[in-house]
Amino acid sequence: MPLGSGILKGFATVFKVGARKPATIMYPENVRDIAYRFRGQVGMRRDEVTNGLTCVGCGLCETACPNDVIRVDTSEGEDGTRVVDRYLFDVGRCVFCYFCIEACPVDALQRTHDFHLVTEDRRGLLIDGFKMIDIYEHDLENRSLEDQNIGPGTRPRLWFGDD
Amino acid sequence: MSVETGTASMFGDIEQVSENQMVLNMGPQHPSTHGVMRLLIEVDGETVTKCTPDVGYLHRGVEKLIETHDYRGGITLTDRMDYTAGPSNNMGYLMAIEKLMGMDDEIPLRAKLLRTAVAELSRLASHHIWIGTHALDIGAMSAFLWSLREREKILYLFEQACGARLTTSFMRVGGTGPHDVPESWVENVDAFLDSYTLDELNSLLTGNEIFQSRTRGVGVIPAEQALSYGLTGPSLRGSGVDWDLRKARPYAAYDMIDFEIPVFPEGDVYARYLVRLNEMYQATRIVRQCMEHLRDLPADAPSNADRPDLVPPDVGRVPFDMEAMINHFKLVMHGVQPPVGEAYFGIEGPKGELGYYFVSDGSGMPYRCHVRSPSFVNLGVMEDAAVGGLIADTVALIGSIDIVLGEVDR
Repeated sequence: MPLGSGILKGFATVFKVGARKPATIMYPENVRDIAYRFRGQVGMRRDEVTNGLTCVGCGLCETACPNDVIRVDTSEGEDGTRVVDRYLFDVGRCVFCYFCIEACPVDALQRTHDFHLVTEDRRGLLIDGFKMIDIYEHDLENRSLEDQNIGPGTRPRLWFGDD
Repeated sequence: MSVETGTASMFGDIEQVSENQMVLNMGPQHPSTHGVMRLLIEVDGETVTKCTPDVGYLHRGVEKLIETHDYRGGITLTDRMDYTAGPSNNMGYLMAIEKLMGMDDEIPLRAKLLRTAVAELSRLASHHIWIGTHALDIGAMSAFLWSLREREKILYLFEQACGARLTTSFMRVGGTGPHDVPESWVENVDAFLDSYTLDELNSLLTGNEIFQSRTRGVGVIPAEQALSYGLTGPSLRGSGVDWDLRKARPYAAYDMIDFEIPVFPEGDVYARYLVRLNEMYQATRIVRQCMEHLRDLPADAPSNADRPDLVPPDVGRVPFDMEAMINHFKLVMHGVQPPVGEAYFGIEGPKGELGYYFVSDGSGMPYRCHVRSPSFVNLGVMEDAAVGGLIADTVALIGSIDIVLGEVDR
């Protein structure tokens, strides 16, 4: 092969590919599809009876979390049951592994597709259970039901399911 | 000329340089060191006479951190070592724990096939990063953009499978855990493989005269030197040594899959380039075969081992079934508890032998964890291989041994 033919071949490829539609997605205007299983900010389900947190305060999420993100403060209620006083979630420490959601026995914690986690100061990263309810319900409004590619072999959990 | 003794005093013998020599400080913020690594290069004119890598700028203490987490929590830390191939790291970690528990043969076939497929996809993603940055170091810009474009498709497959692009935390001890892939994933992978082509990168680089003159005969590592430094992976196979753990000690589903190990004897940067390029072709073959095997499996094939002491029960049952609740709470609170003992398991990661060593004292946390990271071991050869070349050849050499500083420093 004559010298320079390899370079010319590369040029030909460059022109061929350059004529195509660019692969770039112009982000704030256009957003690419988010897979259904995308792990965004952890949300919480609203308890329909009490209109409060679904959390029962068992503390499994606290234990399962590898980064000490979650803190659940509980006390004993009048009838002897456990009452969740405060549910704190430190988004700044979270690595979005979803071990807490796997651990939750009552499916109080739910996945969301929310990845806009920017705040103006650091205190905004520390959110409580009611803020998590807002995030979850806001996310449900924007979520399309079509892209829920759930199949056999997936464990039938609410956070995989058709909430 | 005089030498800045402040930077060189860490390396005592470098101070004694002659009139014609000088010490060049490459990094830790140099784009071609692929991260925060510092190279102290002693040059005579343009020729390198001594090269000393200085690592540790990205040390996060991952091994010690794993010892403070339970076995499940450690999965999230392994994602962050070789961040170009997270699922491979997860897989090595989990298979070492499974060996520690003596349950290698209890992993169901579906989980093995999925692990193999995901490991090969991550090899593809890792090699795409490598081919792009390596070509960028040498002066080819388009290859970088195109290979990241292809890599993005692979990361989207990871996102569909488990929800994250880089920090996948994909599998669990005993199988796939709750993250068995969605049903449409197999079709999506097939669609990706059908549209996937390496011809563009191939035509841009392989025959290119500039690329060849920058890589042929540069940074030669003879086979004996490669073996004595303990190189593994493509860097070893580029020196003509046919050693691949996927063939030598087949793990996961590699024994039921037909593939070849590319070996090139020249030992230069170009040979290592060819090894990785051919590995990418082989990786697509492996993934395709895994998808065929997965499709042949019955729809209700288990993806987790039948071990209630490792695999949590169906959480939908937990609030209504006392046995399931006890099992679930016990697993989350205490986790996996391997018997007293030690185990080492190495897999063929994208960069070489990625091994995990565990010592268990019977509790839920590892007593000792050590990671044999291929990038760290492969980096050692810089000291010898860079000597005699030019400074620009050192850049090509760093690119060709494919280091990730997150894994070198851990």
